[in-house]
Amino acid sequence: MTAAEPGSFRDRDSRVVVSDGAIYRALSPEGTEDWEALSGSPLLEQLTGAGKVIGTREVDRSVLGKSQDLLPTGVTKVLEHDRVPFVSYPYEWTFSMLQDAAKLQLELGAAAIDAGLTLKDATPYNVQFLGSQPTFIDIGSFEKQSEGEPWIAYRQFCMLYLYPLLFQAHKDIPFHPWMRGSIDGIQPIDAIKVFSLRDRLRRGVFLHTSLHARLDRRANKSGPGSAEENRQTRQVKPNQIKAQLESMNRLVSKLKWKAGETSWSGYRQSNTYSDEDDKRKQAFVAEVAARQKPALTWDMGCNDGAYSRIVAESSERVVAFDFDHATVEALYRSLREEGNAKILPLVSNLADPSPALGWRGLERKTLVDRGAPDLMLALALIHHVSISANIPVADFLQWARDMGTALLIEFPKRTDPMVRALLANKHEGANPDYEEGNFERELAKRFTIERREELPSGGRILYLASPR
Amino acid sequence: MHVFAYLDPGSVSAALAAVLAGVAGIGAAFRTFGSNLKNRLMFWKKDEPAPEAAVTTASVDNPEDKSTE
Repeated sequence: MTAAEPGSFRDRDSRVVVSDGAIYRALSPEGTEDWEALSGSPLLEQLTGAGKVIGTREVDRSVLGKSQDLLPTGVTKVLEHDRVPFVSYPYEWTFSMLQDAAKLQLELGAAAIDAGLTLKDATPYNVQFLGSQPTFIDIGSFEKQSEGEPWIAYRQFCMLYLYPLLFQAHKDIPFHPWMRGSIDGIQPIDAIKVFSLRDRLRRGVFLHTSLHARLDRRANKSGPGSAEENRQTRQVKPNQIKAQLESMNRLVSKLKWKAGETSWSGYRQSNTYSDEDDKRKQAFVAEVAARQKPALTWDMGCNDGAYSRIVAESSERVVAFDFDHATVEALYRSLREEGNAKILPLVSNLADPSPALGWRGLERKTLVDRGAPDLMLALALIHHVSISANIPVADFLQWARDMGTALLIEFPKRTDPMVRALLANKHEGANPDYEEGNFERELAKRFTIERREELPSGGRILYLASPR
Repeated sequence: MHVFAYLDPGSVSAALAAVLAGVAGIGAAFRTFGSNLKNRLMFWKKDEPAPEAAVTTASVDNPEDKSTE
């Protein structure tokens, strides 16, 4: 079945189409001209070869079938893109992931100028991660330079890249809720409210935030007619835009998030496992992954990614989720250092996963709608879900069952020190559904228990369950 | 000059972007000049990169540059 991707509608010269798992891009006559300028230059091959731009080739228009009216001026060319194994969004990335995406955006913008092109927008939704490698996916963003135009996407870059990074770097304010709260990012007049007078002296804050907000406010006071009056008339040369992009790249590259500089959040040092338990658990995970050879595995509550790495030896792709930003940041940095293209680390709270967002609630998809896994690891997780987030055990298992995924789950008994700590502030007998017998009954209602193994210390049980 | 992007650049933001591009351009020109001057003054250093290559590197990596941020 051929259908326009609901998140791709803003650009009238380029639209993404999904057909039987293949990803196509329909181009208008103007979009086709821009594509020909890009594909005719050595730039595309260089960028694709370096993994900085998604693999793309021309295909016959007939692949669209009857969907030839996707663009108002008609479709004159169709491209096919390599498929991104798992789509992620900036509100699920770590600081360094957003920073790396911003650097890629600016690097491509500067390289485009040398080829007589420019990038018409600057949104992190145009970047996807293949493991730890950021890749630009919106070929339709490249267009021929228009004489004298400034950097059109400057405002968008500030709202979706720069301000979130400045928030995290200078104020230690997580950017995720802001990005999740507004698909267009943070307005300059909102961003400036966060910064103190001292912050405004920091590099980039005054020019890109303070001055930007002040000019915005003045324009707002002048009323709607001011847009015409303020229309930009200054002629800008391509080399000036390139210098601006490089300058912005230097600013972004120097931003540091202090909490992300520290190593693991200390879990591995403070967890309650014995060495023997840990060894058995690793062997269990490795054996299951080797037998199942899953195409996509989700590791929920991945922590330092130790089990993600074990699974990745047998799984084509692993998405490693954890709600702790600093932990996922450390994992991303180590994966980036290794050049790991298999494991995608994401910040996500299982009890409050990414919702659908944007126009008609279809522009950005929910976590599950982006592709259910073949295998889900839920190690040292269910007690947090059930006791801390108060999600009933049966609800969690039903959620996993609805995805049709095999489940490798660890159940820490009520006697486990971590479970006792989580129950410490609750009344006697709280969370009665969190109990070994009930867990096993609820699991068996929805899954076939393929394997059960109690860890040597006796406090925890591992299950491999396949959906009924 | 008219802007016909699908993305509304914001009239104020576009004007600011144009000014910042001008400032960045001047900064880059100063860096080029400084780099050329340095290469001429240090002419005995045979293993220095060619002036043009040095300019490119300087404009990307010079940590001292604060001309436009």
